[in-house]
Amino acid sequence: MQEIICRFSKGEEVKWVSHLETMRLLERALRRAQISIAYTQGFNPRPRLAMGPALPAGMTSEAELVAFFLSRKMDPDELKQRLNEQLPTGFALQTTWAIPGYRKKQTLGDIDTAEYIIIVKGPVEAEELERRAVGLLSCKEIPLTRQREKKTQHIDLRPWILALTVSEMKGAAEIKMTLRTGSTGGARPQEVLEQLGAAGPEWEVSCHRKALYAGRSEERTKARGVRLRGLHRGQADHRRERQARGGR
Amino acid sequence: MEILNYSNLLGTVARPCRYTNSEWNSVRKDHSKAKARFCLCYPDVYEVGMSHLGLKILYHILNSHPDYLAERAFAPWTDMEAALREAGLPLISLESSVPLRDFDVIGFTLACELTYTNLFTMLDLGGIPIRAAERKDGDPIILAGGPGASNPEPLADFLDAVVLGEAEEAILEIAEVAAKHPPSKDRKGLLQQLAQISGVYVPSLYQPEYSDDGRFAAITPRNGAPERIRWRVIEDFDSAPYPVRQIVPYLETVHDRIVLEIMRGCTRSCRFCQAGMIYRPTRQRSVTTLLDQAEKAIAATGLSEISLLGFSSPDFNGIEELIDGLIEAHAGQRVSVSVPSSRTDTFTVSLAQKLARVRRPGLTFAPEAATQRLRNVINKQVTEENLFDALEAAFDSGWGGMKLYFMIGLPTEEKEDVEAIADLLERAVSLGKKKLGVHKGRLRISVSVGNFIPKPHTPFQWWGQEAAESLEEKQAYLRSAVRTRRVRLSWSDIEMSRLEAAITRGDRKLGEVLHGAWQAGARFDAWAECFRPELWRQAFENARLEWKDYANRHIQFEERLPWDHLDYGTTKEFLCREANAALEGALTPDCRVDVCADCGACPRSSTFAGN
Repeated sequence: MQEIICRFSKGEEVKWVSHLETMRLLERALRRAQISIAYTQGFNPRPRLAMGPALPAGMTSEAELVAFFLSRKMDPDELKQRLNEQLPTGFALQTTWAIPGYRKKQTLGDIDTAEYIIIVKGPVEAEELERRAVGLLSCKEIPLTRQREKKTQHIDLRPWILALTVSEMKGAAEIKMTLRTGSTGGARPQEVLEQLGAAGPEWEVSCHRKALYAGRSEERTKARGVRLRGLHRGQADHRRERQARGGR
Repeated sequence: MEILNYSNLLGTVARPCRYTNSEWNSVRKDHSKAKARFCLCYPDVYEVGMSHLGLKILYHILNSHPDYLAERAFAPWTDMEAALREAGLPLISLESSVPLRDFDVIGFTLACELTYTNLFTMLDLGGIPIRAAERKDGDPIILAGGPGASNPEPLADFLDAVVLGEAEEAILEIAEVAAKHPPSKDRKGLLQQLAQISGVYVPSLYQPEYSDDGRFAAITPRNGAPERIRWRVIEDFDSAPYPVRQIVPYLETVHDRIVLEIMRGCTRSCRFCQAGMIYRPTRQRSVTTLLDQAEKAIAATGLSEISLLGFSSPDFNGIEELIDGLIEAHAGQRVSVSVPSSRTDTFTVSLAQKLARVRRPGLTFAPEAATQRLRNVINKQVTEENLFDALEAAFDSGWGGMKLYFMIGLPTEEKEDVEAIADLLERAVSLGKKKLGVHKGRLRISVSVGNFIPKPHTPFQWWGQEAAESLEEKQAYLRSAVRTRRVRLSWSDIEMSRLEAAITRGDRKLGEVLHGAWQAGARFDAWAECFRPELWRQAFENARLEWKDYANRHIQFEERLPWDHLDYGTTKEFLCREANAALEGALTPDCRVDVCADCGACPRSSTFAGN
């Protein structure tokens, strides 16, 4: 069994394709590309693939992650090329890398940090939004209630906002935010926009996910001075770009 | 040509993927180079419409031709319709995002009468006048086909042309005519030309007459239109076009799989079944062709399931060879095969066992009626022994659950027949408990109880639907008589069935009712959450027509029927004969294995009139 991680992008034309639908289309593209994916056991075997944190529908991204578990070894570059030929317009694999050895623990489970770039245009100027962002960051606590079906959840948004900046861009505001995400809890871009007062029908919003990485493990790694598995910010991309430059 | 997009609306509607294009295998051609541009429409949501094989076949045929193009559009869900109206945006095709009004031909696939109101929505939002008489040069031709158009009379005032029967060949003939006489220049001339194509019915060239009591009396052709329109049949079904490069939807559709059409038509002659009457004769593809199509379709789509389509798939000559071949070739890729079959015998169970190699399929049996007498009336040639043998085999091979189909309100049905359903279910449950032993906790029998709807072109077309109150009583009885939690009963809505019964046997006068109900807000009438019978009651009243006269009246054999000029091959004499045989409980065997029943739909029949 070989684990290959792929970073892929999702463009404007397919931004409404949901997380689950993306997973299904990857399964089908794998079959068309005749890549030998491993299957789960049981009555209803499913292809073994693991997705990174879900991208909310309506967002574009250049940083989505998926892990494929292959039953036969394959060169990650070959996988990238063959799968890209089978992906619908709007989807493209950017980088692929193999995880050495077989790990029982889910590699993508370490992903806990996401960076977004959001362009908003609406009744509030960029300057004012910037002031609000500074104010928000100076809060010790940002209490929030989440309503999901019948359950109400009280949460604090503040520890999950790692960075937040606003700048003016051609009459609109460009908001960059780094948020904690993943299974141990996290903030949604929409919630931060609501806190800034930049959400609602009178706002034009376009959201883009810029990066996904293992933020906590990156901090730990930095402290220990060792590098891990290519899931840190831009690490794998940088290495590949370096290789590509060197090749030319 | 106007190109639009919905990007500002999609954030506010449910399932925005319904309106997302660029699915794998979708085809985008240059509008300026096409000689005839079709928009193929299905008047229901994307998930339902994209499950329809007929639409995929026509899409493939038209787009394979260098001179023609075909795109798709589906009915916007109510939230999207409201959003479009508020934004003042038209309904656009998926592929090129072009408003419907900019196409040459709009082709509707009609599978069910309860989608008719969505057809109005689509025309209206597409910027096309709803009434055929109001369309001018420059407006597209509105074409319809499919089983839901087998009696198109209620829609006659809204459709320009209807294809009777199988459209694979006719669609290219229509495209050729549309390319020669573009509707932008000479609409009238184009309609005249279309009426000359075999199997194409142009309703505006026919004048209906009504008798003094307001009932349909006759219909007369004008301007050289043919007296009768004869349905189209694909003679060489084996080499008929099959779309291996099927579009792979993002959204999970109703039938999210490769649909392999193994056979067309069914001659088992169940007397209530319209499909079995209007798609004659039975034809099947060769195993070699099918294995080849399956392989190509898997390679082109990457889908993980193949479903064998046929009205009675186990009747396919060579079914075991086909299934073995498919499993042999594709089990390694984890592609499973399913046979949605309702044939009730042990053979079906043994097929299901073969299929379980990749994924265990569900089992469905359709005895339709619970007494032998009533099964003989409807010509369902299944005995109770067949059914219980099949159930026993299923339990023995590890199935804990299955689905059973029954109908209530069938012609000549008595109280005993309904009581027999409850009794039969009880015995099925005790058999299941005995067979499953310690695993009896797994026993689940889903029972779907439908309401009989008399359909045109069937031997029961003269029979009025049972009154709603009486159907309600029968449902209530079954609800109280079947108490075990091992059985899950589901029902079809009585008002909905009544509406379907009224429209399906309707004449042109019903057009007023359809249009009135739509104007009052009727949408997605086949969806329980949208269906509003009160709108229909009002629409009938406003049009001064009786709902029950259309749905529940027994029509005399001598009366002229609104669809008599639409010839689906079977002769009226045959349908009459079958209707009388039903009352006597006499069986008519399947002509594939027994004597010819002389239905008139194929050259074997002495009354065959040619195609």
